[in-house]
Amino acid sequence: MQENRKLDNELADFTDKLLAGETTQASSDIEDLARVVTHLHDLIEPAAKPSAEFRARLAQRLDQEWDQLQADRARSNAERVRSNAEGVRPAPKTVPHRSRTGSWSTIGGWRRNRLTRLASMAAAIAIVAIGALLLIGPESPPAQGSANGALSVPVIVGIAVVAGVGLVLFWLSQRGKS
Amino acid sequence: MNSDGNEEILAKRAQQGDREAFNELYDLYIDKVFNRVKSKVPPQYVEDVTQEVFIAVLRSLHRFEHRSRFSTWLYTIVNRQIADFYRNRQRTHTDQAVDLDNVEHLLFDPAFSEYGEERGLVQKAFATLPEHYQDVILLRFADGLTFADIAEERNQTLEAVKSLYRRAIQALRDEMGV
Repeated sequence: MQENRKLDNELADFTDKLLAGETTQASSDIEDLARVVTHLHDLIEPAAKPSAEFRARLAQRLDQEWDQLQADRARSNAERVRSNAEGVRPAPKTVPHRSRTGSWSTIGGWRRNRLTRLASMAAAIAIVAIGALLLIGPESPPAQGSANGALSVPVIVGIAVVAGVGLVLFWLSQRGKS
Repeated sequence: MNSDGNEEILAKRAQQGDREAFNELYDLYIDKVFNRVKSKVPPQYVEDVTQEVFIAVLRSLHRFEHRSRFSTWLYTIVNRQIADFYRNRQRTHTDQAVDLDNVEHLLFDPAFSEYGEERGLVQKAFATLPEHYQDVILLRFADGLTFADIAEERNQTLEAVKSLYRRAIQALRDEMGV
């Protein structure tokens, strides 16, 4: 154990001195190992560095490679963005995504506004019609065959108009759901 | 000496497109990579393989996930490029299928060695060493770390590292048959 440790230290010291460029004589205990270390030193001499010319050439080559890689990546990113954009079907501008859930949405609001306008118009027509009939009502003959025999024509017309408006609204609402 | 924390930050910055950070990594590692390549490749090809290593690092840097140290990841690329070099050399000399696990050993055949026989012998023996033996030798010779630095790097005691080093040199001696 102690002997091995002594050999370990001797060989390490010999190696350190050789690599530091100092001439050293190995003891007989490590002579054969020292010869191997010398061979190794000839093969891999740490002090031997790549020439300045090679360093400059390689640095230049790496610069070119770097530029090429950056350009390739920028191009491939741009292509990816473009293909993503082309791959997804754009939603119609007037129909936002959530309108496909069936609930009222922007387009539903538009329909609702249209319905409101139609309903308002129908109500206005009904009011005008009922008003006009009321004005001429007292001179109108009573309706024949009614349940109480007292309903006047304006009342019947008014009920018909209101029923008509209700039917129109119902039809429009059903159309909006389909 | 251990600047891994800084290297991890540099690697991250380089991944984010910071060219200056990559240049710093290049400056930190050019000598070490060059010496590692030199330990396994004939001298006339060392510059070419070193260049291929750095180009491979640049191209695959975005895949480095920081699960290991940057140096560990980098040296994996060094070894892969060296294997590729010998694989390509083998293809130019023979049409036979290449055994990728033994490619380095096949190509350290003296007939294939294009430079000094002794140097070829050391390289061949070195390539047959177990990885942990190669590692301690490369850390001392190629990377220029002191034994104390290696102990810190490997999280071992100085005595353990010196012992490992002596056993590595003994194994190399046995392989060389000297």
